[in-house]
Amino acid sequence: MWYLLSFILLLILGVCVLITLNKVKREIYNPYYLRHVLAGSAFFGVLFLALSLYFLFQL
Amino acid sequence: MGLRSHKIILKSLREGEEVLHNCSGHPLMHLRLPLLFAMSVFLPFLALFFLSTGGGIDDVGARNVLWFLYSCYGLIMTTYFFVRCVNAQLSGCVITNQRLLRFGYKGLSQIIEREILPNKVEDFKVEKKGLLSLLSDTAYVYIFTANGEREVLRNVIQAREIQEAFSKMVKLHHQSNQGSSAGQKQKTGGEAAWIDDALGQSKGKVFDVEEQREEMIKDIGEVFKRKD
Repeated sequence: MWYLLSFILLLILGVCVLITLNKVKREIYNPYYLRHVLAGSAFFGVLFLALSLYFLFQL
Repeated sequence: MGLRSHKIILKSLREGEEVLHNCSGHPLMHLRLPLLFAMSVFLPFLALFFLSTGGGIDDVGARNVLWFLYSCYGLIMTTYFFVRCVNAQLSGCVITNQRLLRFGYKGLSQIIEREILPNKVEDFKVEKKGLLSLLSDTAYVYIFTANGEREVLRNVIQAREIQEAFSKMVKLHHQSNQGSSAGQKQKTGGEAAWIDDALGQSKGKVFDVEEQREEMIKDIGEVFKRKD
């Protein structure tokens, strides 16, 4: 059950992230703080992904 | 960095169009969403940490489930704030020599692109309010358009430059309009001739205000007389 739940969650979040990254790709100008946002989100995203996978395999 | 708006490279500029000013928000405004994210992730982490280390949850399995759920929550919050931060970063307002451009994203897929022409702006108001405007040179800019809508730029820096850029845009628009109407005048023989043609019957008759007033009073008096 937990595996199915995490699979669905990762699928939905992955789609959201891909749609947003697509926006970044066809941006009409270069915002100053975008790089900081991308870096921060990537850091926390990978951190929480690793944590959730770790605890998923512990269950 | 400070309170200087960064140089903008717009890809969708028209021919002969140049950017006069980029309305940037205060750097502190860019910190609002990341701080909210930190709060929403850090506070549950603290609660869970003290609960599991303080002996609140003895069962290892339950503890693992809780941490797993917290990780999922963290992933959801990271994605949510990522989408919101990107939307906020990709939104903006630019004043060019031809128009005022407002663009951005809302939610996952909603795109907002609005161009306001100088002759469609009814009012342009700069208001200094809030704590941030007292501490630094920020302001709220209100743009009232002809269709009754209002665009608000919150806590933008360099409000005076925005005003100057706006007045420059209006001036340039006015000049270009005058140039085109002068060309039209030469083609049609001038507006005066057109008005003369339209008012041909009243030529030579002088409009007397007093005479008109007396006639109106007489008419009104007659209406009341009929009622009596």
